[in-house]
Amino acid sequence: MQTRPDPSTLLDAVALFLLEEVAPALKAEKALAFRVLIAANLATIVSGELRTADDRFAAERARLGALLPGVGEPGRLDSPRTSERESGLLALDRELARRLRSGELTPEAALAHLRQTGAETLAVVNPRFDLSEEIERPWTSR
Amino acid sequence: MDERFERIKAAVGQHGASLLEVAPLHGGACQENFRVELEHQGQPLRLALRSDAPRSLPESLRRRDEFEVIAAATRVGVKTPEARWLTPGLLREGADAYFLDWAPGEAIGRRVVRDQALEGARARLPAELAQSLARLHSVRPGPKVSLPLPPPPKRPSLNALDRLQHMVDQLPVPLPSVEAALAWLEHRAPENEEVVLVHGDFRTGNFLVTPDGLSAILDWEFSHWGSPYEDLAWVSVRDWRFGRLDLPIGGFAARAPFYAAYQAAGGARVDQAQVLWWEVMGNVRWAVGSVYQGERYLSGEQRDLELIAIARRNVEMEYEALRLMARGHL
Repeated sequence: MQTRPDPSTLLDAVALFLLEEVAPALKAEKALAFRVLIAANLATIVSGELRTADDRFAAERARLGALLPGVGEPGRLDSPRTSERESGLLALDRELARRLRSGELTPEAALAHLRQTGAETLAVVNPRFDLSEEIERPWTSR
Repeated sequence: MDERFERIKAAVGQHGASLLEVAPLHGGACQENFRVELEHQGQPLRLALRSDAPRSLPESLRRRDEFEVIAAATRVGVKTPEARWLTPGLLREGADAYFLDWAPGEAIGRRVVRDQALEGARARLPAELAQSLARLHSVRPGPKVSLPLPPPPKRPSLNALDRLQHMVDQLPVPLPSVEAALAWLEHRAPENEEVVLVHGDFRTGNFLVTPDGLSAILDWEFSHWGSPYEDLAWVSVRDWRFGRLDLPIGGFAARAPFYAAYQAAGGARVDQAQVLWWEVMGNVRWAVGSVYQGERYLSGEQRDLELIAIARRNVEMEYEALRLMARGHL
């Protein structure tokens, strides 16, 4: 298997090419230039996802395990195949969604996990997203 | 001459106008828009033409029904262009269209919230928008009001919740954050809700703005009978602040002056708990909407890079809903 350059580095190179060479050459075609920026952004996102996948998987799995004791399939979650591990995690997500819908689990009980997972995802798909608790001055109706 | 020009020419001809020019405008998923230049009663006249597109989105109005809603809105003094000359099958068989008085201005969100030239306008927008919104919300269902809309729901909040749950059930992926928000909303659904005529997409991006202030409120395709808080909260959904998170009314104003102006113009006193409820709902609805956009690409219906890119954005709206839930206040 070829490992150098790794997939993330290749995608970063694609993003850089689109941003620094293609987009500036398209100044006259604004709509197309905009779509080139979207393409570059997607390449950057996927690069980041590949780079962080293992750590994010482990963290999310640990939290879901604590939230849903005895639910996961260790065979799949520990599989050497990425697709197996992902479908194992998806099954946990599906169970979490089901319990929230049925009321077996309260939103309050899942909130910390969901916010942490959201924050970890946002760090990759939109690092500029403001994670602050307070984004505006508090409003009082008085 | 091309067929489209001939068809528009024939339609305006019925009203004694001659067609000089047609130019396409940015449309939407369910309508096609054009700028048309006419000569009418010896004067030049510029109008916008709005036609049904070949496909429509669920829960959106067709042009024929939208035309009636606009008439109801203009009757009570909402700042939106007058609609005229509803024409069945104008551009093609089965596609209705009408014409709107031309209104000048800028609608693109990030320009409305940032352009230097619109700084004075942004100061006037809260009061101007609040006045139009209060007037719109004065239209209520009753024996004297006949609008071609689905019947008014008794509980707009539960109705909206039901529809969103149904949308989530159609998706192939579980969305636990959305489920948490739906459960949170279900336990806190407001009671004794008012039911009024709602714009349904009241947000920056649909406000046409000139340096003098509000020029027009556009895009009535999602109008329906619902809670006034749907409009009052949708304008503050995080994505519609266009990066100005510190200015919760559409990215251009603080909350207090907008709500005060709404009340002064005849609207109800704005209740913080109901704004919070509908703001969580709005963010969740847009989260689910963005997943749907990706599904449109994945199903092969529309191969558009922007659609599939939006499918990576639902986590933003979900995070905002969870943030509001954790705070429990705005």
